[in-house]
Amino acid sequence: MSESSTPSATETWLLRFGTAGALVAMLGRGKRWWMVPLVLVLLLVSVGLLFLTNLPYLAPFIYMVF
Amino acid sequence: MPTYVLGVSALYHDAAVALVCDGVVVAAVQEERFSRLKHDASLPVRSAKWCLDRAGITADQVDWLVFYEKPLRKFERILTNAVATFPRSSGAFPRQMRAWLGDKLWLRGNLCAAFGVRPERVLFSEHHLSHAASAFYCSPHAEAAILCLDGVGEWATTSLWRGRGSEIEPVAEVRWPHSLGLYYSAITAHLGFAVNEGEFKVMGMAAYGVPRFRAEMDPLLHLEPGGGFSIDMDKFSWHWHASEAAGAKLQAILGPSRFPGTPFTPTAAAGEGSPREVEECQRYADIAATAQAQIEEAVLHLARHAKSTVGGDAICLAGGVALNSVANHRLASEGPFASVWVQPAAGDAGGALGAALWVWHSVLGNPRGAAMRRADIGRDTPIARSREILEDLGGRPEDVGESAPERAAEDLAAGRVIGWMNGRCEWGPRALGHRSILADPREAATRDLVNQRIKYREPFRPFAPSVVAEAADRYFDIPAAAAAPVRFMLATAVVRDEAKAQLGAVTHVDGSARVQVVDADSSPEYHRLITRFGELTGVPVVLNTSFNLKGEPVVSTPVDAMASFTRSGLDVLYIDGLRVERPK
Repeated sequence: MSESSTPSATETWLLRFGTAGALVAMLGRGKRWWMVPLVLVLLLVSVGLLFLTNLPYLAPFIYMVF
Repeated sequence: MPTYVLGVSALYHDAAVALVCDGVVVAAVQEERFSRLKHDASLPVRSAKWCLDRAGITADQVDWLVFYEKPLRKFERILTNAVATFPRSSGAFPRQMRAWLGDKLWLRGNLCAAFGVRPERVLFSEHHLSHAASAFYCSPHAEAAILCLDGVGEWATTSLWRGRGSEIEPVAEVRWPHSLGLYYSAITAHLGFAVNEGEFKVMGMAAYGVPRFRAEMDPLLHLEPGGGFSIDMDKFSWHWHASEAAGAKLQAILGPSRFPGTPFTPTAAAGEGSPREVEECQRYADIAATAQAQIEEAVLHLARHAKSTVGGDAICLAGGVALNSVANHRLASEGPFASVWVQPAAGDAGGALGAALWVWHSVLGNPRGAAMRRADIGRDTPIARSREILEDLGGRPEDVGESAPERAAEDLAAGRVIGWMNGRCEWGPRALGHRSILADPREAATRDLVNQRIKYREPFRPFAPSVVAEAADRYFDIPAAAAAPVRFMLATAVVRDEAKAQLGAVTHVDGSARVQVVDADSSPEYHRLITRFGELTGVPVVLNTSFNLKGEPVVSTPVDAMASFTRSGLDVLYIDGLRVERPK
């Protein structure tokens, strides 16, 4: 819609880190600390997959797995 | 400088956008009207662009973009639920995580990228708060109890709020997994209909049955003395299964589920057909009738609790269950409130409007405005462009100008079935005389003709009548408390005995009709059309069904209308002041 306001790639990554931080903080506020390891593992897996799917040699195998 | 708030709902079903300028709704539209994918859930970028164009602004001028729910809290519920129901949830969990970690969780960034709005301008409402706001802020009531009933939001599945002026405050809630909406959807699936699509069919099927499964089904949905309810979750699987809401345990209670597409004919339900067909159809109809009765009683139960805790004379309903027009009728006729209000897009699409109004009134602290009186706040096409499109498509339009309503009435009186496209699209699932298929309501045969030749839908489903306000009481017994819902076709009414012979095509098997009352102020052209039809035939009522073919969204543009016109048995098409007749 409006090109000028669209966040850059760096901003997008910062927003994602912000979202992850907000998620962990929310779990803390709700005294759901037991979920933090689960969330961290899931976030690490998702970040890892994002990197891997951007590697042209590995991406086809990632898509095959999922 | 005016303040623009863009409300967005998406990523579950019925994605939509609502643009509010200084508290006034400029436009609201569902993405399915652009994509032509029914219940399209994708981020509604095209809807947003259309709304901004309508207002003559760009995304840079949007002061606030508000999403209708909180994705992080929803994610928390999904994780908690997965742990609580492990190992049964292990099948659904990877699929859920793929969707969430790949896309849904990173919504702030995705919204910014899709809509071109800065991150600091993005807000998140709560799912049920958006529902509550969509009902209360659009209502004419300064104070009201607000009851939200749906499948699930973040955690709440049913919630009670107190609305006063510009403020909405929570009172009570029922939390996941106990859900009226999901219970009705589970029964919908058991009866062989698609979830989030077939609930209206269950409501229509219920009229053919009697609620004889109360002994079996009442333990499944228990109304609590304190005002809430609980579901026997041992018999259902929506809290852990990826796609099935119920399984073998429900079938052990209710018998085998109906295979999708199996014929359910009213004649079989009425005692014709083979004995086995009759027995099967009647069992399904009785299950539908029982579930419908349970939902109606649950709504009454919740409303009585709302009356005792919040008080007041008015109740506003929202959420997908609030589209159950039979339950709304019972609430209006037997419930404790003198006035019932339901916003036309009571389902998740309406959350976009509610979220935008919540920002304007509650976050920014602005006073209430005028109540919503009309639902035609969606997409339209300039008539010159319509003419071009019709000519390009070989339609040979006749310019009838201002006399279109009268000409259409004459066509109806001559027994023709017409496609009627007038002005802007309706907001919500109901066609209210802007994107409607219209026919003569007097003969029952018309219902079968429209079903078989045009809509291609199940023969047991009823059609709705539209009646001019001046004659509504002559034909229908409408509870005083339902005066508002019947304007948006959101409550049924009882067809008066003396009128049933005149309304054969729109009177359901139980003597009810999902009536729309049309007044001259909010729908002048449609009111003229029905009035003229009344002058010609003596019956100021028309059969009104949504202008779409089976499985498609309601038409939006002249191209959509022509596509439906050419593929169906419609006789005449009206687009604003243009008339197209089917070549003989």
